[in-house]
Formats: sequence, structure tokens, C-alpha cells
Amino acid sequence: MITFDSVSKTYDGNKAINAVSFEVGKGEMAFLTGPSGSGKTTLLRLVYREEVADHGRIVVAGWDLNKLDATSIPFLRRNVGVVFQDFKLLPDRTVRDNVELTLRIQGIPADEARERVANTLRLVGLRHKTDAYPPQLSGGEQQRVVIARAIIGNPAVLLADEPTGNLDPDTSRGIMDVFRTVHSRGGTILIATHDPDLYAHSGCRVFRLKEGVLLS
Amino acid sequence: MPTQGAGYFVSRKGCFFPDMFLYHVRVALVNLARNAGINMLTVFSLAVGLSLIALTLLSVFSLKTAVREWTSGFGMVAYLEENLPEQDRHALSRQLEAESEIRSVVYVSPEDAMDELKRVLGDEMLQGIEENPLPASLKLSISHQDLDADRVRALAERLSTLQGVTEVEYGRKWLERMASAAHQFSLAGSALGLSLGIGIVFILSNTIKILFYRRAAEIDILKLLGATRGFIRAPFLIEGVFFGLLSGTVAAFCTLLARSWVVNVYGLSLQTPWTLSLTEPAIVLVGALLGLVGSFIALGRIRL
Repeated sequence: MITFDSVSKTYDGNKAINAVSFEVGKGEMAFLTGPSGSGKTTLLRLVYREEVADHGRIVVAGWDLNKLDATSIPFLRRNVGVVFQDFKLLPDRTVRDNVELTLRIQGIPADEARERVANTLRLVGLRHKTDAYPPQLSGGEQQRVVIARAIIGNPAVLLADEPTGNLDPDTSRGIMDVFRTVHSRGGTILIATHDPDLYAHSGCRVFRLKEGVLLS
Repeated sequence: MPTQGAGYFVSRKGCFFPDMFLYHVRVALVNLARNAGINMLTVFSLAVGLSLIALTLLSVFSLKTAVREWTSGFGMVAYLEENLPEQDRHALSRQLEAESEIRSVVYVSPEDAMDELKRVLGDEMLQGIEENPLPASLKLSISHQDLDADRVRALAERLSTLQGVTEVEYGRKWLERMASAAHQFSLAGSALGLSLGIGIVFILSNTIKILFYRRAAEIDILKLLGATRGFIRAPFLIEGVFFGLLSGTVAAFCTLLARSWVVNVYGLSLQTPWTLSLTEPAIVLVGALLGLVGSFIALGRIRL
């Protein structure tokens, strides 16, 4: 579902990603780990075409990103749900409106969107916060809203960038339970984290990055 | 073929245009309401511009109508050859009546001309004149629509070449001066209207650009979620139309008040080529159109 073939990305002469090759299969959950500045976020940004690789080939859900023109980028992104490290929620829209946004972008009618928002918020345990605004929520709750927004559009691939970065252990476990539920329903997930507790006993493959190079 | 979703949720239906349009309208209205104070200032600035355009157009057309009315008695005189046979004179009259620009033809005999002269100057002034020196003539009145100085000059030149006509006289200078004044007023009105129209589009375009940049963070999020350029731009286009509609409505109300004031207080009549009561709805429509144009220009210059 995600294929990197000798991919490199350079910023101002510094190689953020250096000849990285790996594959994440359909329905697989995998982890990407490494210290801060190792290139995890850059690698994820390459997957949803926020960055363009200098060298190598990237294929995501059948989309060859080297051949992707500007008008196709939105359609790639509809197939890649992203849980951002900094949430990227709209603070002046309710939880419902934030989550619904993904569906409205895809042209889903209001009645169907309403039903799916209710189901997805129930899945992430936030049904009771539907009409709240992001600033009224805790960090863990905001993270769940972001996950709901990322998965509601049925993306082929779900990416998560440090999804438990600023959360306490209990909340982190709750967040990981949501990912496991999505995975159990067939979702392909790549989670970037530097927290070993998240992947230690997960039984999932772990890709280790150091200074832009994939170690294993 | 790229994968279209993993399908671990409810299946999705296709796009439903009216539903999407209503969604964008709702987003646009919410966005406008968020900065209601500043947006109302923009609406009033645009309303002033639209009102000025409407009042300028009304003035130009009213003046043109007034000029036409003042010149309704305009005519020309075709002097006839001495001793022109009556039969030829009748033929000439019929020929002139057939001209599309000529409304009526009246024969003035030398005796009638002398009587008119006596009436104007008085008998004493003309004492001693034994033989009537005045020629017979045909008095022609010209239709309103053809009171263009160039056309009247061309008509006079053509008539003076007709057999039996010695000379054609008309108030050339007066007509040319009136025509020139009306033309210059029209030009000035058009230039003012055009400048104000451009100004309105400029203000609207800048307002939409400011709104766009103010929502840059939101637009970045929309892009990351897979929004197309059309989806991102749609609310801004609708906001532009709303700005136009609102300012058009305010301007229409102001114009209606001004119109009633001119008619009631000064007793002047405003006349336009269109039905006067259509002026206000037209202002609202023009406002909406300028709003759409302003938004298009603003969004066309922004790279997404």
C-alpha cells in the first residue's frame, strides 16, 4: 500500500531522508521510529505529497507520486488520512464540523455525513462532545477528533505523526485502542513515534530511522 | 488504478450539487458573520459607489431626455425657386414627406412669410416695401430620434441638392452646441460610472483577498484533507456575491430615497430608457455581478 524505493529528500544540503526503501502492505499496521530529527515527519509528509522527493519512487495506494500532477494531489490526499502532531483542527468549528469536513470535501451529502460523523465519534469515544469546540477539549480528546477526521473518509492509508506525543499513558492507550480498531477493520496504518511502549508488544513491523537512513 | 479507500466504514454515495452549494453558502454566511463589523464597513463603502453609479446614470438619461424635449420644436426650412410650378411643389412635398427623418412638411407661401415677418417686426418696419422679397418655402420638422447634428447636417446637404430647392436653413450652431453638451455629459457620466465600477471591483477584490489570507491556516488544513481548488474557492466567490447583494440592496434603497426626493421636492422628472421601477432591482443585480467579478479577480491572482 506504501512503497518507498531509494527515496531521498534534501533540505539546504542536509539529507533529511537518504535512499530509504520499504513497503507497508495492505491492511498492515507498522511503526516508524527514531529520535527527534531522524526524518520521521519528513517521510510521512512525502507520503501525502506535502513534500516532493528529490530522488527515488514513492507509490501510495496505487498512486505513483512521481507522476502525480497538481490537480491529482487532492484526490491522493482523500485516500491518505493523517493524524497530525499539531492536530490542525479548526478552533472556531465544532467537533462535528471538524470531522464532517473530510466528508464534505469528498462531496458526501449532508444526511449521510451526519450519520457517519455520529458513528465515527462513537468509535473514538467522543459522541458526547459533538457540539464542543476544540479549545474546550483536553489534548487526548483533541487527538481523538483528529483521528475521527482522518478515518471518516475511509482512506486507503492512515498516517499518524506522534499521535501520543503529549498525552499521559492512560490516554495514549486509549488512542492506540482506536488505531487497533481501525486496523482490525482492514485499515493500513503507519505510525511515527519515538515512544517504544507503543510498539514494544504490538507484534507489528517497526522501521527505524536515524539521520534520514533506514536502519531496519 | 489507485485504491479508493479501504472500505472499513459506511459506503459512500456520489456528490450532490445542491447539497454542496448549500454547504458552501452556509460556510460563507458563517465567515461573513464572524467579522460582521468590518464586513459592514465594506458593504457601506460599496453601497456608496453603487448609489453614485445609479444616480449618475439616472442624471445622464434624464438630461438626454430633457435635451430631446427642448429640441422637439426643431425644424429646417427649404427655400424654393421663384415661380416653381405648383405641380412640382406638390411633388417635392411628397418626396420630402417620404424621408424617414422628416416628421411633417408645411408649405409657406411668400405671402404667409411676409405676414409672419410683419407679425414679428411690426407693420411700421416694413412700410415702403412694395414688392414681397420673401421666397416660398417648405417648413420641415425633424423627428426626435434623428436630431443628431451630423445626421441633420447630412440631411440638409441632401435636401439642398433637390430640384426646386435653392437653399436649406436650420439652427446648425444651436443644435451642434446642444448635441455637444449632451455628448460631453454622457461621456463624463460614463467615465464616472466606469471609474466607480472599477473602484467597486477593486475594493471587493481586495476584501476577498484579505479574507482569504486571514483564513490561510484553515485553507492549509483544507488542502491537507484533499480539498480541490474549487472547494476552497467556492465560499469566497459566494462571499463576494453576498457583498455585492448586500451593498446593492443598500444602494437601491438610497437611490429610491434620492429619486423620491428629487421628484417630490424639486418636481423634476427622471426619465430612463428602461422602466424606472426596474432601477432598484437592477442595482442589486449589478452589485451581485460586480461582487462575483471582484471575487474571480481576487481568487485568480492567488496561487493555491
